[in-house]
Formats: sequence, structure tokens, C-alpha cells
Amino acid sequence: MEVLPASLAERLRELTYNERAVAYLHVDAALTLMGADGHLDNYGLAAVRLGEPVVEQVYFLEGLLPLEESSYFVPSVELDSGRAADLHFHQDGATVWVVLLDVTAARDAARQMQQKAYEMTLLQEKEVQLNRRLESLNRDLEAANDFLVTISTKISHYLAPQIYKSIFSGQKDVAIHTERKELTIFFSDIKDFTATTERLQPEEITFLLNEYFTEMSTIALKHGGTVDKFIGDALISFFGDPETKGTVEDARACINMATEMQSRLAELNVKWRSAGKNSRSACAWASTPASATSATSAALTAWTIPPSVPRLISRRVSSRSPSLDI
Amino acid sequence: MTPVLQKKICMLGGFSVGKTSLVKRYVQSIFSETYLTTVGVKIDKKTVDLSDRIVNLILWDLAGEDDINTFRMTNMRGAAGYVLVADGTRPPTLDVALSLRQRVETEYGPLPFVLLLNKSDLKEEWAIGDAEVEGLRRNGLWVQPSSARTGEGVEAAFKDLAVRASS
Repeated sequence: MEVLPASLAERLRELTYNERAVAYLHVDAALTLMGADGHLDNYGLAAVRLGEPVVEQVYFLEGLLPLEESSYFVPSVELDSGRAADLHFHQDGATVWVVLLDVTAARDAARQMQQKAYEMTLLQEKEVQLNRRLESLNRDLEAANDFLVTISTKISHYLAPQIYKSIFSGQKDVAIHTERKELTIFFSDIKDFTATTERLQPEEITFLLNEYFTEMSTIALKHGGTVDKFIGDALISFFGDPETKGTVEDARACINMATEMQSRLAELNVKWRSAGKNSRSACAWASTPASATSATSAALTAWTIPPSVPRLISRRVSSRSPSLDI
Repeated sequence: MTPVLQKKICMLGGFSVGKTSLVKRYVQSIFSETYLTTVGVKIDKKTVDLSDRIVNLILWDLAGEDDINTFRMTNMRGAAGYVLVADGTRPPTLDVALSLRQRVETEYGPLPFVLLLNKSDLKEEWAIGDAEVEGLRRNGLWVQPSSARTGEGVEAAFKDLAVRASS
């Protein structure tokens, strides 16, 4: 090992002693403090008493003495005084030297760097967490959306497609209100339905009605009619709301629809007759100023026309011949 | 005369989980919102009166590491017990705490410890499930939520550890 010139070694010793606030404790095998000197006050150790147990006075030595090896080092220990010290332990025969070197400035610089790095990491962790939450919320939203789609699809079977579309597209609010419009209202029912039902089993009636209404509704929709409701064997639909082509065109569409319905019914009759069932329908319509209303109870809202109008038309149907009466 | 014992207790856990804040709450009954990372070790002392004995807890607040491999295990030398701290709003810190426990046990054998899931006051951001906590308890771990801000669970945890470390 090269030896420093004596004057330089002395200067370094002085520099270290003063700049690093060197202090030491000398402890015997019984862990009694046998010597202490240097910048003890820098570490809050100015009042240590020689000849007394060291660990009771210098509590940060708890658990560290006696030494397990010849030298031991604990870096950057912040003491009560607020100063940070490197603790160097050095075994010397049966005794131990504990040397304290001030590293407060280095500790503060390291803290500044470390702080920035940790804050950056915390931000990144936060970002990851937020992204996870966002993904989770999106999944919930998708599930809720799927649920709504399922529900609205189910609801669609109970609403006229035009009404369904106007509500679910946001064109129309579900609220209590009335609109006065010129509507063409159509009413049809199956002639002698009551007598027919007496001949048929309930399952056969259901089958017949389902097929009948499916076919008639399809035709109504094709011509732009809004299927208002089915009442027993009766079908009520209207033209002019929520979509209209004008009063005359709406009425014309209604006539075309009724004609096609009768044609289709004739075809169905052939089929039903072969199956032992027979049916004829009568229908009527009227163009009249009427109001389409969102009829509401606490639990249910329906977009419909007032009952007086279909009643009037149904009376007209009753007075006509049973088969094809326009 | 009541016997006086002195026990070294180490605070272990990832960075920014609240180790320093827990010590500050326990020793000085104060809480600071400012996060100041610990470099090296900060040593404090707290005296606990257990009726039949007085225990001076020498609390070694060790720097939390982002990489647990850099943790200086030699700082645990002479410890009579330790406090594992995880941040309840950051689940990965629980893994860090459990890894540290593993390393301590490997190096020093079984020592009394408590596991604190800190920041319990941040209920909106809490991210460790009850089932997970129950699972830890079933495995014999002393686990408790804590808050350095409100003081919840702090005193009880240190007192429990003082009893076990000085028995």
C-alpha cells in the first residue's frame, strides 16, 4: 500500500475529522462505554457517561453489539439530532470501536433523487390502476348495454316497430302528452270468431291467432301502418303517426293494406280449411281527426289512440257482410 | 421495581406505504401529508408500559425499496420483531411485504411481526379484498388495517408486537 506524505495524511485527517464530524465510542466486552470523543454533540451524544452500559445511553446500538464479525457498517442512519451518520463498527481485541461519520449532505442529495424517482413510479402505478378501473368500468358498461339490448329486443315484440324506433332512437320521449293529428284508423276482426273458438282446442286457437296476427301485422308494417293493439281477434292499426305521408296518402296506404290483408287471408283460409279450420275477416277504416296519446299509469305507458274511435269503426264492421267487405 | 427491556423493531415494506408516517403517528402522535422518502434508516424510540414490564421499542424505520433485492437484510440484525407494512390502495405492495417476510424468515428464523394494511382511511381507493385478508389470517398472520392519518390500528399493533417481542 502506498503511503501518503505525512503532511498530506495529516491534512486529510483534519479534513475528515472536521468535514465529516467524526465521533467515536469505545465499548468493552461487557458493553460498557469506556471512551467517547469527537463531534459527539453533532449526533446528540454529548451527555454520554463513561463506565455505564452503552446500549441504554446510545439506544441505536440495541441489537448490534457484541459484533458478530470484525467490522460492520450501517449506512445513513438518521439520529435524534436529525443528522445522518454512517456507523462503522470495528473490533479491536475484546473491545469495539463505533465511529460515526456525518453523511447528512449526501443523504439529502440522495433523498432528492430518490424522491423524484419514487414519485415518478407512483404516478406510473396510478396510471396503471386508473386504466384497470377504466377497463373494469367499460366491462360493466358493456354488460349493462348488452342487458339493455336484450330488454329492448324483448320490449320490441310488444310495441309497434315505428313506436319502438321513435322511442329508442330518442325521437320521442316516453312522457304523458297528446298530439292532435289527422289519422286513418283501421279495424278488423275475424268473422264468427266466437263460434269458431267453440270448435277448436285452445292450442289451435292460439296457433291460428298467432299466424293470423303475424301475417296481418307484416302487411300493416309493409304499408306503413302502426299496429296499435290486438284485442281478442281484433286488430287495430292507424296511419299518420308517428310517420305520415299526408292524409290522402295515409288513407290510400290503408286501403292497399286492407286489400292485401284480404288476399292473404284468402290464401290462409285455403290452408286452414285443409286443416279443418276456416276464418273470414271483416274490416273498416276511417280518416278522422284524432289524437294519439301517450296513455300512462304509474307502471305502464302506451302510445295509442283514444278508444272512442276504434269503437265507432268496429260498429261499422259489424254492419258489413262477413267475408270481404270494404 | 418494574423491569425495563429494550427491543429493536424494524419497519419493513415497499416505498411510500407509510412506514415513516406510522412511526411518526405512534411516537409523536402527528401525521404529515407530505411524502418524504426515507434514505437509509431513521431510528426512533418509544416506551411502552406493559404493567409488569416497561419496553423501550427502538424503531428502525428502513428505507422502502422499489426493488426488494436491494433491501439490506443486515439492517435486521439484532431485531426482536418487525412491522410489515403494505399500502391497501396498492396491492403489489402486499406482495413486497410478504416477500420481505419470507426473506427475513430465511435469514433470521421466525420472529414476531405484525402486518399492517395501511391507508385504511382511503376507502374509495382501497384495493385489497376482505377475502384476501381473511386468507392471510387463516395462514396465521397477524393482519390489521391501519391508518397513520387517523391513527386506526397503530397503537394496538405496536403494543401487541411489544408484548410478543418481550415475552
